[in-house]
Amino acid sequence: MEQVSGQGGKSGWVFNIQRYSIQDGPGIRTTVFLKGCPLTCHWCSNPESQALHPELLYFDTQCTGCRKCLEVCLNGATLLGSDGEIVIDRKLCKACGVCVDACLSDARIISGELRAVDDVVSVVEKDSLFYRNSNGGVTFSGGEPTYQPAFLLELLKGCQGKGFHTCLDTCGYTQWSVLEEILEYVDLVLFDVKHMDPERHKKLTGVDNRLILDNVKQIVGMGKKIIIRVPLLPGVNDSEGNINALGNFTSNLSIKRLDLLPYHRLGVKKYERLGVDYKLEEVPSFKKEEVESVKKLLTGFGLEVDIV
Amino acid sequence: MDTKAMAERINREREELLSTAPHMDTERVVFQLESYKETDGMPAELRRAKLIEKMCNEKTLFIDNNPIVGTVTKYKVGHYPFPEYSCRWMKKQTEFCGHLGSYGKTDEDAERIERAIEYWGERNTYYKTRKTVLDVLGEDINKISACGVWAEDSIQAPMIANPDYPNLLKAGLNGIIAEVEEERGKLNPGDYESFPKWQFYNAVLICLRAVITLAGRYARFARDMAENERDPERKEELERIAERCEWVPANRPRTFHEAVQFVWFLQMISWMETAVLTCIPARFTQYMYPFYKEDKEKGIITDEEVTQLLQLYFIKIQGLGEYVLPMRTFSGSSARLAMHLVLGGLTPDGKDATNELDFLVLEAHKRNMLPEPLTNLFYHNKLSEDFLLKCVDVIRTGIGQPAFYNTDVAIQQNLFHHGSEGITLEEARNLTIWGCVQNAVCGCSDTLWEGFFNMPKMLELALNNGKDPLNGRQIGPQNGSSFESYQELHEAVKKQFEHFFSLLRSVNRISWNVMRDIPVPWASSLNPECIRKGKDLHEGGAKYSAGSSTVAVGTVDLANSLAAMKKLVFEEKKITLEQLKEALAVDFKGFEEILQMCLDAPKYGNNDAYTDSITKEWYDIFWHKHREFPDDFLGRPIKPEALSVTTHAFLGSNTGALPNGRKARTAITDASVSAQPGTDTHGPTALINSAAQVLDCVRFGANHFNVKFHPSALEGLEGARKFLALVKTYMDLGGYHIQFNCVGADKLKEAQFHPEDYRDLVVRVAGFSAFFIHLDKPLQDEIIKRTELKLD
Ligand code: SF4
Ligand code: SF4
Repeated sequence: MEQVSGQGGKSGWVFNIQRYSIQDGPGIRTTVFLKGCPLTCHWCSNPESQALHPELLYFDTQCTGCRKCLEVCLNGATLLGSDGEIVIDRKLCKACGVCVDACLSDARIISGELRAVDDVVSVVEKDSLFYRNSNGGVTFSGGEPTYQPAFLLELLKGCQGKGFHTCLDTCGYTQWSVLEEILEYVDLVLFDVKHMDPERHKKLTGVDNRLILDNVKQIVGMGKKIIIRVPLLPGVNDSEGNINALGNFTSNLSIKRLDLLPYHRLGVKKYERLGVDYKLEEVPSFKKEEVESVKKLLTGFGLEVDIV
Repeated sequence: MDTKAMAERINREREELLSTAPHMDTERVVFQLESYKETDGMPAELRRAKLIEKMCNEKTLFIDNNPIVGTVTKYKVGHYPFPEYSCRWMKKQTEFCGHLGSYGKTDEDAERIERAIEYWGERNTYYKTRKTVLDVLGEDINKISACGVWAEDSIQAPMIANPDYPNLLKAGLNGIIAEVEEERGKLNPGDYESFPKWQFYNAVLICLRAVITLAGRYARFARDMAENERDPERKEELERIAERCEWVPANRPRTFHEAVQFVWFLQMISWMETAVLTCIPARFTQYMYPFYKEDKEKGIITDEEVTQLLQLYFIKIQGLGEYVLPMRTFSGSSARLAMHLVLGGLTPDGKDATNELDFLVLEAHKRNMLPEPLTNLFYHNKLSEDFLLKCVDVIRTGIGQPAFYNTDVAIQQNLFHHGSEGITLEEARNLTIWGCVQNAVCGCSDTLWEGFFNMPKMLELALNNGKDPLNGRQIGPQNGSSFESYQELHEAVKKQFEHFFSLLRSVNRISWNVMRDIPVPWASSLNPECIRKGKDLHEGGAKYSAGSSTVAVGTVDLANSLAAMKKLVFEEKKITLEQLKEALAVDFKGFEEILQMCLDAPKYGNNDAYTDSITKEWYDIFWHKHREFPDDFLGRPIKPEALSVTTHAFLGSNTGALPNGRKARTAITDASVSAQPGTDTHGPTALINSAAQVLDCVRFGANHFNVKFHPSALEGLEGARKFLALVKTYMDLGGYHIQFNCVGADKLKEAQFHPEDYRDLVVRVAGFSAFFIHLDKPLQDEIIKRTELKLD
């Protein structure tokens, strides 16, 4: 398991800071998205977060075909396709950002920026009155925020030090010793559980789920507040068998709350922007009734279930 | 009538209102010409009173299916022209404009307008102001307006009625008549000071009596109709109408229904006397509450019946209108009547004033889905949760109402601006909104306003050495044409600003004196202080002036433009001043790279000190300049304001391309602390933080803040709570006004075609939110569909 500590934790890779984030925990929040993830979920809605290093995003809907990017790229990474369309050779692209400045149509963005802890905390601090009035705070998400453990630790310390409520949105694939240290500065854990079956889990995400499920138990054991979050994918993890296993697992641990996040297509476009193949082909979006029936099944286990 | 049948009738009335083309009614013009012939040689207030009397005695009447009777004109949706304020433009107009669209004129109308212009051509107040300014200051205000330095209609606003409803309802007009007669009885017209008062009282009495006569005419009209009516239910209804009109507005209403009829009569007559914004419903839920409570206790009315009556009353209000200067309707749908109705707020002893009627008004508004009356919530921390949630419920419909106002800040404004006049805390708490977003002390203020002033035009003039590049006219002082530093540029803009700001304030002072030729005895009769003093509103009869001094428009465009120049020309030296000027001169055509740099430069509204500090600097400059003459033409303190109504469209149409990347002749930024469209890319908390910092809402009389919102952000109880936390935070930070325009499906479709204007639009997709323009087409379409469903 590769984990990265950038610059002794004083700075790290961030791909977005979203203010007025209202779906990542209680109240009005600022969500800091850290780059890099040990998993490669097929449906990931933030594919630009998977790699640790900066990447070039290309929005073809905004591209006017002016070819300015072509002229300025010194790495030969922007090319013309056979139909005269703009093509990016991802192997050659160094994400230097020169083409981003040249593009007049906002069709290019560099995702991922090295930012200092103080700098991030000062952005979080700007909305402190909103947190106070809504019982909100800061959420660290990704990617997988624990992928940059030293940086995350410093960020959490910085934010808790200012008195902000902290939330960690994690896939849980981290050594317990590392997680344990981090959790000391976390008020609420949003914990993603993707599939209960180890084999299926590995196929879908690239890793086994044993460490993940063990970590859930540990977190519960130390008395931390936790909400289980399940990205619900039609035909992938919505079978009765999986939902029942999930219900059993959570209720046995006396976990109270579980959020369902029904699948949405947003990711597809993002994969194109990154020039990455999207592996989860043609999954239909959920119907309301289907989600409701999953919810019903889970409420049967005494869980409080929210559809986010 | 049972409530189901009534609901159907309300729908029909509403449909008819929306589908009827408005008419111009030239009856008033004819009455006016006849009346002015008859009253030749009389003092001005008597001539105005006699005109009202003639209209009340002779105007064509009708009664339709709305149980609240009376219309301003002889049409259901009709507008009067008011040639006494300005009229030459009427001749050129082939179409007449009102807030409900444009409408044709008949030959008879054209001929009557022609005659009116013949009479009023050199007698109207605009003409007289223009001539006086030319004689005294050597400037032609037409020329300056045409260059978009200010909005022309600023220079002819009559004083409007801001009635003392509680007292009027209690006394009835008969009670007011008795009061006026008593005051008049104390006077000796042989005394120098007393004579003008005596004349004023005579004029007021004519008006008050005329209005009672008009109500009587409606009563007889209803009786006649009842006599010929076969349907017993309708016959009965007409008889009830007659009974009501025989009783109000002469006497204290006996029922809630009579009270609504009473209030409507006052409003209707006010729209006959002057046009524009007059006689707002104000704190309707407060002064109507005793009547509601009495009826409820007697068990003669249900909440459903009250709601329906309110719906019918609001339909009446929506049918008001005026035949106005085309620029007023410049941006079409945003033209409004500004019949402000205020909710929430505090009682005189500082308690939450909300009552059952506040809820019912919101319910009626939600059912009607009409823009008027404009509902405004005076927000404070004592409001109940269920009432706030009811407000969110209405906002979700996408109607953009109620707007939120900060009660504490408004009270501080009143104490700060009227402290020297001895305002009491109770008076300061008695708040209403008038005009655009300004606050006034209810029932005892008058409401003058000066000019809407184009801030970014000052930069345009500075860059061109005082010459308007759109027409080549040298209208401003010369300030040189090259700037070595940002500071030099800043000084040049300031020079233009100081010149035109002072000029506009001088023009307005002259204009207010000219307006004294058109007194408003009816509006004055509704104001107890005018009666006590024996003075018309135009002579300073009111206790306080809720006046707007000069109003800043487009400060955000000015700041964004200066920030772009500071960064690109002076700091990073990416382009030269000459290159930028060249690009601006041709509206960026062929200069796409410069345009992009200008758009990418820092923008106000992102919680970033670079531009926010420049915005604040200019609001400070504006305020301090005002401080040099803080008074109106009567020496009463008035407030500088920052808001736009719809003038940002008009002013923008006469402003060239700007360094903030705004194209020539397009609208400048609306309101006063809203972001330039599409540039607040850090979300609502960042925008709110910026907005709360750049303008001191206590020192200014008002700020004006529109925020775009997709209804998905308000979903469910959770969504509503987070939304309310957002509002509370803005208020805690010292904001004054905030209004949420829920972005409907039509706007989203527009965003698909013009993504550049919607770069800031965030929608909730599923468990997360995203920028709308970054979603792919199918997902955008899905969200549009979802939005359509929600708003139905
Ligand atoms: S980011 Fe740099 S290397 Fe990549 S395409 Fe743009 S200019 Fe070329
Ligand atoms: S510069 Fe931008 S708009 Fe032009 S071809 Fe490249 S990506 Fe497209």
